Amino acid sequence: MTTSYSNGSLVRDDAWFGFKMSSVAAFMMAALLVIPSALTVIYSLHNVPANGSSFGEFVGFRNYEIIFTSSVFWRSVWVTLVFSVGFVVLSTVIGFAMALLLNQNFFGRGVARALLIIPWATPWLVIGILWKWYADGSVGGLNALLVGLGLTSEYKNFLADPNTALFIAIIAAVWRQASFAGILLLAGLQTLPSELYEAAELDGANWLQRLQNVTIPWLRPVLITVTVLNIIYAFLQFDVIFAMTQGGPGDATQVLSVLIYRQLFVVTQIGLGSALAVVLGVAALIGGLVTVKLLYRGESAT
Amino acid sequence: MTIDHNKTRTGMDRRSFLRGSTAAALGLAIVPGLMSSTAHAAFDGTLDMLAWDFQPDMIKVLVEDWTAQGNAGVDLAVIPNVGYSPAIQTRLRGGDRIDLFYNFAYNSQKFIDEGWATTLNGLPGVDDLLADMFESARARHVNAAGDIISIPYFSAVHTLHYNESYLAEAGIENVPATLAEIYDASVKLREAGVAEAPYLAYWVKEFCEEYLHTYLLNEGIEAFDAAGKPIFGDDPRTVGVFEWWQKMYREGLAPSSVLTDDPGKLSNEMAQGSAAFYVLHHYFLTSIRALEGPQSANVKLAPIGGDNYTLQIGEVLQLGQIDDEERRLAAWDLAKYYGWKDSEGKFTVFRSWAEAAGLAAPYPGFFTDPDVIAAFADYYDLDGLSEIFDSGSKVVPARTMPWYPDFQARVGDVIHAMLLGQATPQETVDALTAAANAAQSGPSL
Amino acid sequence: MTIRSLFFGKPGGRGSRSLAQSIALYGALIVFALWILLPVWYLVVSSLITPQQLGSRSFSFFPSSITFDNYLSVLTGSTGGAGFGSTDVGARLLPAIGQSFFVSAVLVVLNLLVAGSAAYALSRYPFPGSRQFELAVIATRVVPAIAIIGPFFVAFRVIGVLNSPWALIISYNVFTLPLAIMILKNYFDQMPREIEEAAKIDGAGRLLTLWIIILPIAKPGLVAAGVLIFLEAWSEFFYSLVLTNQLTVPPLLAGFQSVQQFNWNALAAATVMSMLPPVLLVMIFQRNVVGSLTAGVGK
Repeated sequence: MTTSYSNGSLVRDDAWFGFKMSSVAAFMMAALLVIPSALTVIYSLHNVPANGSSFGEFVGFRNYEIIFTSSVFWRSVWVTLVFSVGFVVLSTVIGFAMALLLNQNFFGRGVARALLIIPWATPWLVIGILWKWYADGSVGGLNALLVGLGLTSEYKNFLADPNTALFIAIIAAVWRQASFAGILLLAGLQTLPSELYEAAELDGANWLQRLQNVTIPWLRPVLITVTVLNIIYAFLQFDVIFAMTQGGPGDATQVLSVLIYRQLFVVTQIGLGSALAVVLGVAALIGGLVTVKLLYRGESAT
Repeated sequence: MTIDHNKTRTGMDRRSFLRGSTAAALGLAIVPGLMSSTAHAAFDGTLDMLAWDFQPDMIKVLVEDWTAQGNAGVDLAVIPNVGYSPAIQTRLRGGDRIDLFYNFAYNSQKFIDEGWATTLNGLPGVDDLLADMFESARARHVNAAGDIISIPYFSAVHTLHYNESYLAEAGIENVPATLAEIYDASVKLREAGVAEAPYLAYWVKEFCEEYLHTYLLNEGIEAFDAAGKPIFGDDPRTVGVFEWWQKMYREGLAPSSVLTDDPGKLSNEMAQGSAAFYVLHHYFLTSIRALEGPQSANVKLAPIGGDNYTLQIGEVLQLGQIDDEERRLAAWDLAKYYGWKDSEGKFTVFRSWAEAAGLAAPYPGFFTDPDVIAAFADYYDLDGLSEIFDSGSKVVPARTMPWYPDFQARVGDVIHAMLLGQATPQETVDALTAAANAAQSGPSL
Repeated sequence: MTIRSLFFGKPGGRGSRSLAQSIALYGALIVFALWILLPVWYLVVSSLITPQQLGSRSFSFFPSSITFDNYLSVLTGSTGGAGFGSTDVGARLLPAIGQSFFVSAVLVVLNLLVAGSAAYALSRYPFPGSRQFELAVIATRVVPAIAIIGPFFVAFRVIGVLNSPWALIISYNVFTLPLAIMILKNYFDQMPREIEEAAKIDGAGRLLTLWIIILPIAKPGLVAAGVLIFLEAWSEFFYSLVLTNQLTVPPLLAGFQSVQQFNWNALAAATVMSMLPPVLLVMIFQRNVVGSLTAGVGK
């Protein structure tokens, strides 16, 4: 298991070692993601026959033209944006709060941390079905709860109203994703040396200053990873909405992934669906990269 | 079920007449068609069949029975109904060969055009099968060019499930049949305090298309001409239908949740008595009754459309591309057994579906078969149901055209926009016409 | 402000908390518990009541009577038509849980090996192009998975793994591998480098250092990443739907939703059963995570 090396070539050796260690992952990702993605891009430039017998006629950017001139698309972009912003902000903030809370010492902490796992162990699709029933206007638990607490006076059909339907879809998805963020952030908090706190405390820093000057800087890499992932999950979210509303009522929850599903699998317009997928992927990539840029700027600043 | 008596009698007469003439003309042909199944037991491989997840253990039993009768083995795969279209299309696209599969009727011509399914012309007994079918149902399985594209997996008609005692309570004497009568009755039911939102229908996006045709047919309007051109916009009554639809929702006569409710939940609302009407496939009566809620026993079936028609739906069985002739004939034998009759001329498979869930077969002989009659729960009026199939319903031939899935996928958005008050009925007519034209003119969103 | 102490009572500082701080802490915990538990409780109660109870308005979080019929009907189909009435779902649910478990577990091992070594290399032994590789990892995570399922189907047909767990184990790398690399790279970045420096001076080789020194310290991070991969795989619906015949749990549960018949109570029962394995498993590992983490903090 030992590797012998001379001091002179240590740095180059290290790089070679790093390269070898990464190569399996790199190969797998090339095979599993790069090739199919390249195919998707090629499809998006063709009028692909539904039966997949060939690429079909090359149409250049015609598919993109159809997309960008369609009001259905722009309406869906808006819904995707609203969904994503709500999803990312709420998941990250709630997850962060839960991580801070569960990092405390208290009786029953193990149980509380186990609770955090439950939403995360629930498949997205099941969450969609579960929240559809939970938020139901007549047999749902949410209404019984709200009326019981005196917060509302009568039962409301949350999923029938376009605004509340989108809101419930966001909350349902956040229910799972906040736990995901919470667990990652909690793991990050565990690595925070307690000396840093003590030093800050001795300096007379209050909780807000400590949050700003100790916790957030320490968590910055995790926090940004979590945010990047949340952005990607937001853009690509499909299962919850599919199970809950199938994009309805009307087009109230018709995010781009629902449109892609429809074009690729229901009406099998492969070229158009692939172009939509490319647009969505690029949008998610831009969202992710901008966040990563923030990460590196933050790192070089410190 | 209450059926207008005159109508029933004339219908019965016509049906017996039809049956008589069919038997006379084709009686001899049917026998060899059915008998031929034993002739090509030469195939000794295993057939691949794909079905969706409705009572999968029943499917398994039915198929195993067929194999046990000395036929080929069947490798049955079952996938969920919600994901059936994506799954089967991706599989066929990826080169899978499936010998026999369930399909949605609206996908059937498309599948033929894509080379995923074959026409059934000339297969032994297929003409007898068609002759055995209600004339009203034939256009679903035979296209305009005369090609046979599918055979029935099951069939159903859109009917009115109504709570008999609620109607009496509100002083409504005749079961409403036309759209206007349904509106008036719903208002009465609400005013009498019987039900706050008396009218239920499965208006989720995916199903709005069925209701589009149901309501248009109720008023005697044809949506498409024989070539598939949308003509509903030309009929001045269409706007009225949409006005009615919008009114039912906007005035709260249908609960606001129907845009996303599951049919199972709606059945339960009927069983529990929070609504008085429920328009959907006739077999939902089985689930309403089976729920055994306080009002379940009061729920009955009635035809809709009055002197006009209701929509007859049916999902289908299709044969895949099969090069080997023996295999093809064996698959066809399985198809006939599953979508028509067994080798002894009995509706074994359909009888099982009738017993399990109240599903029907679009064959007049099905409704008069003693085994079938015994299989249906006694709350079904089979004569009345048969009558709706025979002369009270239409299938809308455009629904099997290759561009139709594209149109089908858009209807929900357009209708929901109208129901939510985002579009007027006239705008809705225009938007639907545009959607039908766009679907026929190439890829679009 | 009592909230401040809520978040910043330092670890091990329980004794120094004031009464007000404790109230705030436990108040926040109650809110947290309700946020998580109410939907779950709704699910569990739904699985224990009849459709009639569900249908009678105003859902009761504490039903007057409960029944196990839904569980029975899912497992045996023996409720005489009142329930879902399909013995087949029962016959398929347990194997599906087993398959889900197998797929997820194999994927965890595979991903921890592959992603773990890549992440460690990216963190400790950067090479020319490693920054680009890192960006590529993030870039590949944004590929809409549903869009690339077609090529997978064709490829799997060719190599003959369709409708087998391997179709899923291979294809799920699309979601899990980039995720695992990102998470683990982060984790390794957080770990102090001094230990490795010390090992290096001692003359231990890189792999030996990784194996003997790093791995034990990195255990919490690896467990966390493993749990994450497991649950991502457990949760996946669409690939399993298209590439297999309801091999795993989510498409099977989706099968309950058919136009002809839908029973929320039976679905709830099936859902509860299908959630038990991941929840139990994760709770077991959660204890491990908590254990090793507290050990690390306590020093």
